[in-house]
Amino acid sequence: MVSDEQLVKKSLRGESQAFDELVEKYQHKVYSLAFRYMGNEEDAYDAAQETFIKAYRSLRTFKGDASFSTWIYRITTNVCLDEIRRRKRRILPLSLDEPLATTDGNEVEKEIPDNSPTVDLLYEQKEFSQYIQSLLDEMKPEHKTAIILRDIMDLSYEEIAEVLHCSIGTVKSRLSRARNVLKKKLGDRELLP
Amino acid sequence: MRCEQIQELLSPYLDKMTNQQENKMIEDHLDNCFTCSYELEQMQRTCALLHNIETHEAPEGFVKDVHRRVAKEKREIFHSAEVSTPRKPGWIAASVAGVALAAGIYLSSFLPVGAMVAALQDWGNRDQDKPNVAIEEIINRNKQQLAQENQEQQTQTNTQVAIVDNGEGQANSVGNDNPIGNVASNIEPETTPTVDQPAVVVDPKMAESYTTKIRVEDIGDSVQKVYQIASADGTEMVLRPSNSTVMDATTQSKVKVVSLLVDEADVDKVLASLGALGASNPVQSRVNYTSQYTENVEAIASLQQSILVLEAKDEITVAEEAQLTEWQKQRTDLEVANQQMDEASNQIKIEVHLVEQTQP
Repeated sequence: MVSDEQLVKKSLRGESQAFDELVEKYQHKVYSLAFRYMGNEEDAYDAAQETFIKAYRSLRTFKGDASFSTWIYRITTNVCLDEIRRRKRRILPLSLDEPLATTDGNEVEKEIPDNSPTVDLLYEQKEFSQYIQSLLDEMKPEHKTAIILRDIMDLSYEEIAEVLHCSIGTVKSRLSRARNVLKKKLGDRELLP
Repeated sequence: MRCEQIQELLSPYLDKMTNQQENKMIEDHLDNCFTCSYELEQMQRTCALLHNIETHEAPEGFVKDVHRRVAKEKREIFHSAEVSTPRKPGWIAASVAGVALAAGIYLSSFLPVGAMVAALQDWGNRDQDKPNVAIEEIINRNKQQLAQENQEQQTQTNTQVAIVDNGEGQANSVGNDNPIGNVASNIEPETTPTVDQPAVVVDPKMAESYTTKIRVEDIGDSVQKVYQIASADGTEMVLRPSNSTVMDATTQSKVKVVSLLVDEADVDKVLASLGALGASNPVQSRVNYTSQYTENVEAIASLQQSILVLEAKDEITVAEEAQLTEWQKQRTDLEVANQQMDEASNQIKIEVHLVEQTQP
């Protein structure tokens, strides 16, 4: 079994199939992580693609002192959070009842989905996952990041500290706050048994 | 207040990230506090929900898409570079020649490196007072040079063709075993083992170096002394393959050059130690290597472009495949050269010329 580090070295030597192997190995993890940040398949796909291209461009900076997985998660996290920030800047606050102007001059009525799940939905894992996702999307990026990396991606505190370039103490306090925020959201909606 | 403190610890407690003392405090508290026990339960449920959330896999074709985008991006980058850089293979040969001159790292084919390797190995094998320097690395490096020399001798004729034929030469004309090494050995000035040869210590911007001379009775002994100084100060030592029979033009003395890579903070210390050994006042000099580094980068880009053209073909001939491998090798060599320049950029070189006094 060729190690990640060896694959990186081979990629740097111009062996493109070595990089393909790395992509093959990490595609699902990266995509899954991007999905949690972005919240839908299309954006997750773009972000995951962008992640690997960025990784390829900066392979030289991968020193091997951290694992390749935390390195690629860090890039994924940066790509996604940058994109989310960029969109936030671009999207102006909307009034809920004002019609939306489209680019061709028409106006459409806004449809604001009611995301609250019904009891039935709770049994549908897909819908429930979507609902949890919508709660995550409401959270501050740093809280969302901590929850995603720990409780969904199952990274250790050490790994999270590597991904976020922060101390383990920071991971602890950030995750604690984030879980409390989410716990309250779920409790308020009576979703915790 | 106490509950608040405990509740702050519940999250790390769940992950077993609290210490023994904290655990005891939390558990004692939980035994008597219904609110905090409930909070812990709720947090456990929250985490369980998150653990069970649906996972998503990358759709089919994802890897291929990345591959395609990486290849496309490379092509675009090099396409735009085309405007300023003609992409004739002959130009590559010329640039490789230029770069090799710039990178003339490690190569001095006219020197009997073999004898030196043997001596070093012999010395390195002695157990006593073995300095803490990368002897193995130095020996291996020198062995590589030796191997390169052998290759060079075998393929020298081909290379000369490649250099002369740089106007419209076939791409294949650079296709010998080690064009970089060859070209360097052909162009490199043959009798000046001094600072102006960019060795391992080339800085991509400014290379700072000190040159000092020590008059010695026995070169072999003195090399070891310099070795010991270097290792005592924790500096990395680079023994440039130099020939003990190189003669100083004016004094007819034998000269051996030993290069030391030193952190800026250690320069004074090492110079002082060398001074105690009888070294002359050091002469400081600075050389700008930025253009050489840049030339490497340009040559890499040019090679990359040619590689991409071949890689983009659906089918390639055996000859093309050999060519592709060759170009990839050349590119790697240049990248390694640049990497070495990068790595050495924060260090200062002290070059010690050991001049053996002629017998009366």
